[in-house]
Amino acid sequence: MALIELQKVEKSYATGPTRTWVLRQIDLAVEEGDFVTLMGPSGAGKTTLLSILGMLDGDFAGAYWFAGEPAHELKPRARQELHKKHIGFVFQHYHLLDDLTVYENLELPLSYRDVPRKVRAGKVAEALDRFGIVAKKDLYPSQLSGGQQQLVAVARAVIAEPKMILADEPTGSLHSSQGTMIMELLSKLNAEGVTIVQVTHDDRVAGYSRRTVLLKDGWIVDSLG
Amino acid sequence: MNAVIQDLRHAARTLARTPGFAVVAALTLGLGIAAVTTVFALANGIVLAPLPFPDAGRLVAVGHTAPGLALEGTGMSAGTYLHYRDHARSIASIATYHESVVNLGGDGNEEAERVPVATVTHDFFTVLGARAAIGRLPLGADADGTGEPVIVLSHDLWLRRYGGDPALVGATIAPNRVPRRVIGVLEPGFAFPRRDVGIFFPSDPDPARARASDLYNEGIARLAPGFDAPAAERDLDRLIATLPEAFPDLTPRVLADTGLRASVRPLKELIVGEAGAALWLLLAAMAFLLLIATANVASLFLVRGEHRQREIAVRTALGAKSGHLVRAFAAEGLVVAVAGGTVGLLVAAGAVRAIAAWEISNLPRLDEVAVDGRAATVALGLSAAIAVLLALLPLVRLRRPQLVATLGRGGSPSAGRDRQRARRLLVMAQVALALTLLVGSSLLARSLWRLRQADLGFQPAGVLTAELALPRSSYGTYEATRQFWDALVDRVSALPGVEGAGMVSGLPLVPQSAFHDLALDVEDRPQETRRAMSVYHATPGYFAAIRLPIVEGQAIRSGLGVERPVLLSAAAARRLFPGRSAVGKRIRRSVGDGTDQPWATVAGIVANVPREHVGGDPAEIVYLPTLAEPVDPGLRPSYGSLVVRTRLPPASLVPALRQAVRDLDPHVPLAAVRTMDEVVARSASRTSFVMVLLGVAAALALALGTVGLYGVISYAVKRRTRELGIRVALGARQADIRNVVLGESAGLAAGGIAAGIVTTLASTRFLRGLLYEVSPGDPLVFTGMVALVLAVSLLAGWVPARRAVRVDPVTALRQE
Repeated sequence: MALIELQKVEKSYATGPTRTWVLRQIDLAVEEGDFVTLMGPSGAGKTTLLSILGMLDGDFAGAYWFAGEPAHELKPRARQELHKKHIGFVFQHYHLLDDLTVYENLELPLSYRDVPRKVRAGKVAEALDRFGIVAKKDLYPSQLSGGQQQLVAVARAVIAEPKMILADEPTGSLHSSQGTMIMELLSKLNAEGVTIVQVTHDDRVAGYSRRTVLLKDGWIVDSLG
Repeated sequence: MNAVIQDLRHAARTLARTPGFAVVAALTLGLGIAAVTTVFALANGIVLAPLPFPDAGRLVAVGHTAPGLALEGTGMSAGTYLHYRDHARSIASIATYHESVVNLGGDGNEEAERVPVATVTHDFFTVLGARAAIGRLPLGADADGTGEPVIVLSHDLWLRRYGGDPALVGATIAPNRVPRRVIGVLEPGFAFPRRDVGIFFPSDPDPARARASDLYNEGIARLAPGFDAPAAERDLDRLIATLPEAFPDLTPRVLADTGLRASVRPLKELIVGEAGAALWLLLAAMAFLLLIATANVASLFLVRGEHRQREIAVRTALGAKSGHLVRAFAAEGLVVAVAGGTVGLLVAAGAVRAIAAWEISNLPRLDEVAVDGRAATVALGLSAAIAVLLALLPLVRLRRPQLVATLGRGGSPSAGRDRQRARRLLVMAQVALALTLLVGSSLLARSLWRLRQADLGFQPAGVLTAELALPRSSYGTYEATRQFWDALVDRVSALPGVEGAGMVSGLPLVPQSAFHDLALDVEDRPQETRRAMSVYHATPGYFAAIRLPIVEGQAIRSGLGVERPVLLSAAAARRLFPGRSAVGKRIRRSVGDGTDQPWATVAGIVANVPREHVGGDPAEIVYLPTLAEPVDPGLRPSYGSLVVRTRLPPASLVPALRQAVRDLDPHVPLAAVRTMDEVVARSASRTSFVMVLLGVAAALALALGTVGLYGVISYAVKRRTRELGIRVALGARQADIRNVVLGESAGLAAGGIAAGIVTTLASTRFLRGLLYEVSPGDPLVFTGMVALVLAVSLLAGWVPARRAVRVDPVTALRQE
């Protein structure tokens, strides 16, 4: 059974008397453990699709099955629970919370999942160790380089042990050596069994995935790999 | 719990990283909270808090009305006291009292002092539930006139004059040179009828000699269970009908003529008086100020919210439920609230102390006012409610589909527009409220100015006054008192710099007790006898000293050739002799028991003076000159105010005045030494007090409104930098750019002013009672304040406009 299955997913919004289509007739299946890249020109609908996959946007037509659960039929609260349980996010601009230390940024997803304090401490310590950032735990994001920030962001995305990571231009703000480090990290996580769906404009970054889906004007126009 | 503490810790840290926002938000909120808390503490201590007596809700003031004498409020007589005490079902206990002043000391090195005293029935303290700090309170046997005369001292007097010496209980002191044994000292804080009453004389009426018609005492009572004030009033009205049976001096005819009715009011109402209305008005004004401050803080939170959309999106993407977000943002609000509330409480505590020490505030129960637990709860509660609600503003209209877009682009433009619209509305509301406060305070200021211009009837400048009382022990006869006053006036008139001196027993603008309202008969109008009027003694020189002109007839002087001459105020003349001249007509004091007083002849009419406050009703006064031949032998000028007109600064005359009195009689002290200007200012003190507080609120409101307007325009310019750059690139001149910005500022001000005119017209009518010859819709005040608000608004837009004209189009267009 595919981890993700989209059937005839469509998204549009009203612009005056007409409708503007963002996604058209999207059929997509992503197996557990897969590594998929969404590519396409600006306005193709990549970010919207990522948002629907991440269950942050429930306002679409069609069917979205996640691990056998009908996400399209769920009430917002249940959908949010599903998101919390299984999905981690990595963003282009890292989006660490400036006022929290590295340690607290890592702790945040766990606290939102009501993980007891002691268990949280253990998991954060483990993540700090695993990603080699123990020495940075008391620093604020502004005291880290871009690559270090994204490293923390990835660590934050996986700390709650999600089934799937959604990455929106994960290397977009990094110089090439840092970008390579992050992509190798994502590949390693994928090798450990985490499903990854990323959006990128960069062919080299796309090269880390097993499959690339091309979007244009809201339609899937090709699927490579 | 851990999560909440963690949220609070994070919130404190987040705020510490933006100290500008945190400090401005807390101070602005604190200012608004302080304004409301200060006035709430006053209203709480004065109006809301029960009187400091056990079961104070059952305490009432008992008196009468006598519509037949045109007396709205008169007191109790010995007869009514005994009758109600013995027969009223509605009353558990009842007492009467009257206030006067005694002279204490003056022997040897001991400083003579005038001490306010109260003569009370023995059950006075029982009614109030008072206790003695040392010694005991009077019993019936102490007050029936059969035993040794005793007194009770106030705690204040005992501490101040006698150093808190416990041995004073049992000792004898001699108020007015009559020895009396001290049986007890009251507990500290007892402040009825007033805080400064130092000695209480227990004295019960003799039932065998009691009269019902002399309604000169004040009455208090404790209601029986199951009765309220109106029910007690009905019960006493029923008993009034049976008074003539018990007290022959009150004949059924007199009862019918006077139309005597009982008046029972909660005691608190008597003490608080009209202060309540002024305080509620001020509380409403301060609530306006708090709203303005809140709008400013809301504006700050809205701007901050724009920068925090990314944070909200990240937290949501990380799995935060709305509850988590609410908690995190509410925690920030709570931190601001605690800081703002603390600032508010500290400022309020200082302001309350300042007001309590500020004599002109002239408010009752000020010694009971404090920023207590209740006021603190209001301050912190309001602060918390406001700050937490405002802190949650960034979460309003949060749409999840925008989240990823927000994370991608760094902000949702439509949400930004919404917030800017909200801020514009807030600024308009601020301008509206500021205009209301400005107009309110300006109306009062104009009113006070009018009061200062008002014709008082006399000329207060350069006049010094002082009160003196002559004890019966030394001045038991009319002749003794007259000689004292004549001698004193002669001595004072001879002092260097003095232009004239005189004595009057009732100064203009100083409310006198009902004791002075005496019923009069008019000789040629037997059908309409018994008019109540103030009857004052005056030495002939009083009128010249205070420059109160004789408007008709003659001034009093020796050899006038008029038998028993009196002067009437113009208002009294009009009441007693409507439509015709009063000069030469005869009146006499009516005593109601058939014994006739001699007729007196009206020699002249004196200009009116206001009764209680400047601009108020003129007093209806009969002036009895203190001549060698008494006009009314039954009335003795035992106390009065010395009135001295001087070319020197009035205060410089005080030592010489004191010496002159001491030379005549060292046992007679001077009291209430003040200039007539001070008397006039004090009579307008309620208006002054409200005006000053409203003025402070209005100034703060204008400042906060200006800052709010400046913030919004400034931010709008920043947001429009690109647009302004395009305009410049397209050929706009500096003036065009400046006009765009100033136009926006003027537009906001105009919207606020339009709304403000509506709220102002709706609110200023509540000021009507405090206004004098100024209408609540005074066009001059409205136009002036609208112009001021408009000018300040343009000023607030001027700085951003200057910044806007300096926009570099190349730099501006590079911005995305």
